[in-house]
Amino acid sequence: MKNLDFLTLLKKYELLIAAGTVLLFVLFLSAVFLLPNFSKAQEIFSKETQLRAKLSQLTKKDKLLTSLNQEFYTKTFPKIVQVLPQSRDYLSLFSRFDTLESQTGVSILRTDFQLGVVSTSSAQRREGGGEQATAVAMNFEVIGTPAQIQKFLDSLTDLTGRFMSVEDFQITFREDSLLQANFNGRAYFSILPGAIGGVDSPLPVLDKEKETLMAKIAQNQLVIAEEEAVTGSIGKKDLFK
Amino acid sequence: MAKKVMQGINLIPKRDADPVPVARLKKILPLAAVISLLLFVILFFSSLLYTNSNLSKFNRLKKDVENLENQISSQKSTEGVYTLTASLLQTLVQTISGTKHFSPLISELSTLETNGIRITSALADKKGNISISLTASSSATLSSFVNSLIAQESDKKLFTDMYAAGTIRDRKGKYNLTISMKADPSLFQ
Repeated sequence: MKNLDFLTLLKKYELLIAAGTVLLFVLFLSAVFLLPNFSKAQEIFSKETQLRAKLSQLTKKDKLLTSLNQEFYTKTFPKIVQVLPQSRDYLSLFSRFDTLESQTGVSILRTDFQLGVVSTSSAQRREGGGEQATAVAMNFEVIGTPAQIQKFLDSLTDLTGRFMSVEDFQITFREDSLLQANFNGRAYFSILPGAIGGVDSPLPVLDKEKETLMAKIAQNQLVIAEEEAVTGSIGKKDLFK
Repeated sequence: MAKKVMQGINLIPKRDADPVPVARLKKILPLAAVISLLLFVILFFSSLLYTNSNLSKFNRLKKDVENLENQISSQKSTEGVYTLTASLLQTLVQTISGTKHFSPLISELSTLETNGIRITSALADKKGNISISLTASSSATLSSFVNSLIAQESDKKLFTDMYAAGTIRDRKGKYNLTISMKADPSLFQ
């Protein structure tokens, strides 16, 4: 009797039961197969968008790199370092003053440099090294005619050698028509960044101002200042003999 | 009478009418089931097609990116020298922009010396503050010099805010004084 009742019920609602079963089955299949497919498609789409952007960036970078004249940059870079060294480099300072003395005709009576307040290694620890030049304070005294002094001052900033600036000056007008000038100035150095960035990092763009600067410096002669080797005996090795 | 009784007896059991909600469900659910099944089949195969075609496109893109990365890596030395050059030039541009050039100022100061006027010393800083010490051979020379400076101030405007101090007349009748003034920025270009 009970079975009969059950069968009767089944017969009565067979359409509803079948439709409900199909609906449940569709829901199950959607959860297991359809939704993962959608999320995979979404993932592929978003990754594809990122890849396209990366491809465009890399294409631009590759185009720029291919157009560069490596030889020109390899030759010009040391000349730019000559103008703005990577360390205090007192040797280049002294040799620059020597060159200016002979080129302009002034006589350099005295030079004073700041030592050790900002060391090269502490400047290296600054993040993004190379964004701002570090200044080395200096004071120098020269003597010459007004024209020679002017030429000397112009040569400090004309980028034909190490770049130096003048903050202030004091000039004494001597009776022999010469000027004796005392300048407070600055020499500069710039620590270069330790790494140049990854493959996908964009290349910096050289605007017109920088290209003009580079073209001017490229005409300089590269001066290699060498320290003279110490010759001859330099003292007793044993003080007690 | 038998016929009438026969006519009254109905051997087919009377079917109970379904409640209204059940009747509605019997109409809607089968339709919903068929539609959902069809929808599932369409969406499933569409998503499969979309995924497969996009996957092959994605793989091609990935390969292109890898090739370009390798190409760029092979030009590492060029990239290095170019990047470092650009960095140095950027720093140089910033350094140069704050620099003052005193050569025009010295040239202009040298022209201040005239007959009877001798400049003994001059001080200047990059803010344009100047102080010159001079000797005038006589009061008339000094007066003439001061007037020419004032005329220059209104005319060329190279030196302004002039202030004379410490005027001393020595035994020989010469005048020593110090004039402080402000130089025009054009003298520092």
